[in-house]
Amino acid sequence: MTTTNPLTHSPLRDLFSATTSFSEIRDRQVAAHFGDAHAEYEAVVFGAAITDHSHLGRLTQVGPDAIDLLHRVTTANIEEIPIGGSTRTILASDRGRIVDVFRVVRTGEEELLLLGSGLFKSQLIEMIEFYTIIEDSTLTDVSDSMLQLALAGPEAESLLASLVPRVGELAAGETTEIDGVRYLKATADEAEAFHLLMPADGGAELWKQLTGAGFAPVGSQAINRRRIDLGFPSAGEDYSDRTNPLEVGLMDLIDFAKGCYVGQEVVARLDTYDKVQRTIVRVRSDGAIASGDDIKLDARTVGIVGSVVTDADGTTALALIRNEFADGAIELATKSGTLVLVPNSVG
Amino acid sequence: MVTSGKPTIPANTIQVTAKAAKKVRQFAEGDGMGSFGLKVAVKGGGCSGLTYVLDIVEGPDVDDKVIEQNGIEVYVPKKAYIYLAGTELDFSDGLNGKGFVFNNPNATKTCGCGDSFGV
Repeated sequence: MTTTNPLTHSPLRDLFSATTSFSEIRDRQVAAHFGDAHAEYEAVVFGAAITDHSHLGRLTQVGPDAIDLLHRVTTANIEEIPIGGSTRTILASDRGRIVDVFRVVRTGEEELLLLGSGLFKSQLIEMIEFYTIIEDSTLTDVSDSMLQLALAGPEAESLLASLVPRVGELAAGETTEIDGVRYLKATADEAEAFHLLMPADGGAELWKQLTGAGFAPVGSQAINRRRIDLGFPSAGEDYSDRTNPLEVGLMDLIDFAKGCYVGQEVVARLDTYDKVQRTIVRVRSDGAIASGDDIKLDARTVGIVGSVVTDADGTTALALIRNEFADGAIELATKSGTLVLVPNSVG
Repeated sequence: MVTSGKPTIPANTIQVTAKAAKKVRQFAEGDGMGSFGLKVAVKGGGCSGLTYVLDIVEGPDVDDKVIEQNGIEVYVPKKAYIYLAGTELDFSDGLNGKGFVFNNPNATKTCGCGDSFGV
């Protein structure tokens, strides 16, 4: 394993104007918005947007045993990924709790690219290295040498295809590499439309080309708001090593037919015997609720607030709620105000 | 293959019982192997995180620790040895037999299928 010290800011920072508002995500400074957060959100929902994802984690895993190893320890079927394809998967603990959720891209016969949350990168590295015993497989942290951008919005695909026609042929999860840039078409369980991966020193030029072609630069706030709209959980706020994959709507990342993986016995038991106690829902509140706030029914804690976004209309959040209260029939509250649940909004 | 955490032998070696050694010899001779040894290793995976590997091979790899037990050679990759030191490999036969059984004092948990353990 080789690793480098994390950057304190994005490699694209010098491109961003004086109106840009930055925020700290993980150990990096990223653009929260470029001056008009509402317009950026509109671009993500109705247009074509580009954002900097340099704060996420990127690893390569290379060697004759790389695919077999990840297949044995994570929830998805890694063996069946064709070269150029990808799948999202979960590394769980032996207690069935989430270590990290990440996408595995098969970039070669014996080469994988792992796109993770960033927040749990060190835990992901630690666990994969722990399980690498007799296997011929090398894990490398390439987060600093490889830049990751994302495109979002309903117009993103057609606009990108007008510039790079081959991407219009990609199915969800597929990738293609053109002039040193790997284009990955996102799947329906992501707020983004495409992920773009390239050497870090080539990112500024591509950013200029794409914004010049009409992609609206958007910060992390707009993407985050869209993600919450869609009910997709985020590392740290919605899931962690205290959460099992089933309660946060990640069932589709589990291959129940593949056989053993780490945590499989617990996850299978939860599913088979219907033992999942909580479910993730979307909630709205007039109050200033915050991630980590307890959700109460009178004095009893029945849930916890996860991802939160505030706009002119109030606050929207994802929350983990005990199943019996997830239909919204009973009014719940945090210390800051009452919650309106949006039943069946997630998962 | 079934595991249990029963510590039975010194922590600095791996023991293959006479019954297990006899079974290994039968498998090897059935396959027509003249010289052979038993590869015992551990790899990542399985419900509890680690999975036993058993294989009858013609000889050791460069990094293998070689132990002679009950007339057969046991080859253990050095990286896997820390998970296996002190383990007894037995064989359980009969109608309710479980096949090869690892009694591994390093295992803090095992999964229901018996192939996987955690430390």
